[in-house]
Amino acid sequence: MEQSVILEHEGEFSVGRIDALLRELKSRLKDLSITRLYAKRIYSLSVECLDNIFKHSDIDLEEHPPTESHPAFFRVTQIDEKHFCIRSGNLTPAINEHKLQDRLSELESLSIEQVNELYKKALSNSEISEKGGAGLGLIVMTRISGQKLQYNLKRVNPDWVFFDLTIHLYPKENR
Amino acid sequence: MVTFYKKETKTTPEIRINSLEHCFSIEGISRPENVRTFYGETLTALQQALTEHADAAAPFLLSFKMDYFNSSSAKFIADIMMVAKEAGENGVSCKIRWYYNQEDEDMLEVGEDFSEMAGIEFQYIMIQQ
Repeated sequence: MEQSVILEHEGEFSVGRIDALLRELKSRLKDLSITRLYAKRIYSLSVECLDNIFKHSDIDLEEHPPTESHPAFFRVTQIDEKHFCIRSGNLTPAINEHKLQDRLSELESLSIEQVNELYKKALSNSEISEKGGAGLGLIVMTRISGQKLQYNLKRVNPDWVFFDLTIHLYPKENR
Repeated sequence: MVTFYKKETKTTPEIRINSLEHCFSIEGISRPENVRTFYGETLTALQQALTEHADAAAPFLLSFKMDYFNSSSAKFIADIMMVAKEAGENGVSCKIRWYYNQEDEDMLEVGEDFSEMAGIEFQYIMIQQ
């Protein structure tokens, strides 16, 4: 089969927009011949990506983020019958780059068993930030997909970085 | 006496706490817009209910029947477990029931992770379709 885009959006990501996207995703996943569990994994990964975009959607416009040249985006693609790809991108202040890179590098270096241990530790140790993030999102994405996250942190200008994240999802037996 | 109720919405679970009936329950989907406010109130009410429960003979029952929760909610669900653990260390008997759909092995695994993290034994209940 040819790969097909299940859902995509670029630009503004308000609470209302995210709710509408998730409703649409749920409805489209129901039409596919995949199990409920597999559909739920796609949905869960999508929520984490959209939460991540939303947490960066209130970036201070007085800081002149280059949103026109680098708009946030979200896309779910069916690559083949059982292989899905969830991709998202958003701007983040350059000051976050090292922290984000460190977390991604750490996850990259760990086995899935080690990621599961890290998850349990993070559950009991993490603090919720002002924006409601627990720093668990990337760990959860790795746990659910069972795959290394693919990412690119591109410095757009001295103040801004574009975080491009790709998650591949296969049935567990193919991992 | 503590009675606490939050109605289920499209993004938040139903939560019930009743100190007279010795129970807490959470059910549905959890991806609140303001996760700190949503769970902050719940944690305060649960702590109060467990404090009142200190002299009761019956165990305090905590039931988790979640369809889905995002990673920020997971942190607060972990906090609920830790409140139950602390109550247990102070002599309050707590029982945790973790429900999962028979098709949702991920929800069972997450429950097992919470149990291991908190050091509390859970009763797992499979919901048949």
